[in-house]
Amino acid sequence: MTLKTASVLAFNRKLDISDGFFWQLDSNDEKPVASPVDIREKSVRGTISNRLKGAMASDPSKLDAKIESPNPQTVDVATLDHDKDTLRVKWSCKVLPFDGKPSVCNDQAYQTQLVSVVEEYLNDVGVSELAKRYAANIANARWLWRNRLGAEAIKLTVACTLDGKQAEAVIEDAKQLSLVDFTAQSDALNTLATWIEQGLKGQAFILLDITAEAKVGYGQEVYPSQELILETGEDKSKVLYSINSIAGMHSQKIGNAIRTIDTWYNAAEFPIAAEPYGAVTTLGTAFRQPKQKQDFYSLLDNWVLKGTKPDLEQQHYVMAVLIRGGVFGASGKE
Amino acid sequence: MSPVSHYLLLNNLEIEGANTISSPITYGFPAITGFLGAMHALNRRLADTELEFSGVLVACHECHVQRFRPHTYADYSFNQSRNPIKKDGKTASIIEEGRAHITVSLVIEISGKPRVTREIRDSAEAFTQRCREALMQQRVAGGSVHKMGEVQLFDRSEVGEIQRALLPAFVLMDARQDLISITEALQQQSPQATELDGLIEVATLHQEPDHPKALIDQWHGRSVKTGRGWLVPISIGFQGLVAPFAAGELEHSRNPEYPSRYVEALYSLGKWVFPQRLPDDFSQCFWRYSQQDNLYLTLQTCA
Amino acid sequence: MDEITAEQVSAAIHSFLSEQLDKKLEPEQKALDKCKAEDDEKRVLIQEGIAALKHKYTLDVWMDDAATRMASQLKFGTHISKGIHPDSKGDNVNFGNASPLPKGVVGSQTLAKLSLDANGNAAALPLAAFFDAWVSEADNIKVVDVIEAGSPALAEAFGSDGEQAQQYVARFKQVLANSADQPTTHERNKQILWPLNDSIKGDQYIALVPLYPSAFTSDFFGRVNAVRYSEENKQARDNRKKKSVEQQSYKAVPDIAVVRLGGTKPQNISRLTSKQSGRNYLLQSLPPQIGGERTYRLNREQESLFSRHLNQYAGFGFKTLFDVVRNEKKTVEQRDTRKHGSEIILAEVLKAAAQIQRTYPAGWSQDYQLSMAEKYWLDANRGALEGEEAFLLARDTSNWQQEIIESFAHWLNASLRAKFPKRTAEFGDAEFREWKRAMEAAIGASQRAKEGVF
Repeated sequence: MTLKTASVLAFNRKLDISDGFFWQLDSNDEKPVASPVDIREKSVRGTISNRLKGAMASDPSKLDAKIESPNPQTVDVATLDHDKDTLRVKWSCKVLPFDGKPSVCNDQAYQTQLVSVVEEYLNDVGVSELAKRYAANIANARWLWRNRLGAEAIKLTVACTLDGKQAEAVIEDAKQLSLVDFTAQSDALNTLATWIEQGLKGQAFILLDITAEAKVGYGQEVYPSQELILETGEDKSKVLYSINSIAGMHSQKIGNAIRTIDTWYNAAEFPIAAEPYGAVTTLGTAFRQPKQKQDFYSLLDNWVLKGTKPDLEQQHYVMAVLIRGGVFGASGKE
Repeated sequence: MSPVSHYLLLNNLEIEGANTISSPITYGFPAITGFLGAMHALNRRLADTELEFSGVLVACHECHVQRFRPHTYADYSFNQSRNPIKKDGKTASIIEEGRAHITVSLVIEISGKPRVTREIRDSAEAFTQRCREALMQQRVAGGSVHKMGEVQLFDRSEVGEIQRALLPAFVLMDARQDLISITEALQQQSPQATELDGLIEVATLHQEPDHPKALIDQWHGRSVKTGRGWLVPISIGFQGLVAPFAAGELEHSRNPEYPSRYVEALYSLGKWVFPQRLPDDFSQCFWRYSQQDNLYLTLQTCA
Repeated sequence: MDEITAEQVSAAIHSFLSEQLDKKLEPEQKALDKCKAEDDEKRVLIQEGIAALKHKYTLDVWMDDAATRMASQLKFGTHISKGIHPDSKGDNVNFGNASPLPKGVVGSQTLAKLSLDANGNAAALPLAAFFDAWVSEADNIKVVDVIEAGSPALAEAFGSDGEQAQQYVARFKQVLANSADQPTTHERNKQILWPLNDSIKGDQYIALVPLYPSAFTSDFFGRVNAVRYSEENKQARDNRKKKSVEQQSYKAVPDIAVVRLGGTKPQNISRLTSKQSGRNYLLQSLPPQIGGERTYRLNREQESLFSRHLNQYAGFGFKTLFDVVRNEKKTVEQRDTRKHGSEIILAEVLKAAAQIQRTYPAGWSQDYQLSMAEKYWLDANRGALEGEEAFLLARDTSNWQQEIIESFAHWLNASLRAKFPKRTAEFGDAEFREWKRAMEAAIGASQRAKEGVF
């Protein structure tokens, strides 16, 4: 019987990342008590920039009336207090064992073949390259996104409890690390990469506690995640994420930064997140088109079903998508 | 089944991304099946201990539903997460989901042969450490645990200690009797009222004028819940819609090795109770799997 | 079914067809009315269109199209897979004839009648509307029931040719039964593994595949709307803003959440989903919220945790307690229901304390004005710092817990007296002791639990 892809196939994510929460403190205070960064509302004068509908579009006098009396709009904004200059963001990352076993698979023959492909990769290649890249993206604070831009310096601490002992890896200034290449070396980076590797290999249960302190300046604006809200009503155009009045960044957004390790797509100029079609939402582009057979599904099917092993670099990519997790059976493909 | 010998307390589990849509007509706190499922998964990971986890008590400290409404009189919608764009660069359509960040404490009933329960008592620390790591690596109610407090093993005589350790929280209890009596009261006014109307009545706030000439601020709210405790509609399991399929019969089943069955969710009332006011019979506080004919229920009575 | 006559069925079919036709004719008729007298060509075109429509909705023509084309393009059911996920290609199920549910358990049987839902090609959905049309509302009989009962006498009504009519009904019955040879679910359907007896050792499970009860939820949607938007309810609500009107009570169903199935294309989910624009109501099921949305924060000047600031933080508990006290009628129940309100407040106090203990660095209390007892409580780890031996010793030897217990009870009683100045006598020693007992019980716990709040 010829092997075919299981109709039901899904993987759990192996880097299980929490939301990040925003605190603030004063770098000049010797014994600072961090306080939460809160979200507040700010009024802005609405301008007419959305696409006009129906009567509004066809009747200029109605448009004029609308422009003369714009809706008072509110947006959410988050800033540090005037006596605080440092943004502290904390989140955690569980590194779960990666052995190629799907969380759901309804075809035993396919699963056996898939697991043997992953095992071969783990034995012959290993996850050290991937672990190094994930570590680099934690360390370079890419995950702070816009907050990274305005920061003068970012001190980053990663804590991990191993064999009952608490260990730490400290990056003195994350801003000094490159966002484009993954060649940098340091003790802290190596330690971090080793932890991640141990976790993926299932040698130890790894829970990383990441804390970044970004010096952004007194009273400066900071950037939590924006909520995607389907029915905002007329008066509010931007809602920021918070829980218990503490501003936060969604785990998906942090996760996207951590898996921004794919430099192996065609004519790559910068790393993109490991995604099935190399999709980058902010650019509106998918960099791995199925036409070129460089997308996840083409590579995986060739590898598992036909036994055609891709180049080493594409092997890394395929494994990175499996580590990301998702639904990959019949309905995953577009 | 051996009698319960110990209770395992999993204190202050902080769960991110739990499924807040607990059934086709309820949302908020995740469905009980999510916690029973987590208990059962944990039991499977510890299968070598030969212990049996038979029921779970669910106490909620915090529940933050990811939702928004533009003003107090509007309905809520759930905050969505952006899916990756499609390969043609277009945005993928949104399939609505509802998520909550919750902090819960769970207590698990443990039983087993005298030899094995003695073993865990003597090596309680190793046992609780193992439970902690296993739990961190599995999903609970659709979300994942990112932090947890103490994991403690209690002897079955230490109920008072457990109840106090649950503070501050509220424990979810079955309130099916309240649904029956609320519906009966409704039926006195309108005989065709059903238990579904009873569920809606629990969610209804009656705005009543203090007197017929009441001014706008001379009104009060009345709810059928007053005096009955903190009642909420909940999902309590499933019923089969058609006869079960034999193993392998249903195409694209996730688990072709087991029989399968099309089902629908069933609903009733639950009540949030302060730990110090739980019934004297502690065993009544635990939710358990129950299957009888075409009913697959989560119940607090012993099957 | 016995009480139904062929004439009733015939009338139901006829009125369904004329309704459908009227809907289609309306735009044509408007176009015809607008048509200018001299525009003969256009008028003829419209009139031809009208004639074609009238032909299409004659009994035999429509029924033939329904039985051949439409019937093959739809999947029927009361429970649908696409309600679980729009991409699902799994089965629908037409639920009926089930045994009653236990008392206090709500499901599809709770409703006297389930509507029939369908999905597939949207152009074929009128067939589903036909099946769902009433034959006799008084007898609770729809067209679908007539088809399923399969009485030959009633089937005659489905066509002018008797034999042909029987065939249509047989065909309809077949599609309604949903009896695909191969039952099929889909990757996007959810599945729950339900442990049976001896699940772990004996590997005994059943995979439950929940389907979306669209017939049930559309009924539920209608019921909630009937409560909210009935004419009398709207009237009473609007009257509240008016003066010199006899006021009537009205109902609100607050805190509902809306999920839209199918996003902008609810017709892809099903006929019933489309009828409510994909909108579905969910009732809220949350525990009492402990503590406000805000994190509790101490300021350096405050002399006790039990300050007005804490009243605000525990606002929800106080609102609950005040409501209880305000509505108290019988003194027998009084103590019990008051307890319920005070418990929420106690929970809120413990939560505020835990927040401080967990997020403030050890030793923070050095430059705060709190009483020593509260510092021992809230800055428990300060004693471990260098130079804080005195703090440690005093914490271990003094009976600071008693002071916390009394502060709590005092604060709660004072809050009640301030709220109900005419009833201060009710909040005296007995209540004081009651609040103390509650706090004492809470303290007993954390002396054992390592991470407890004391």
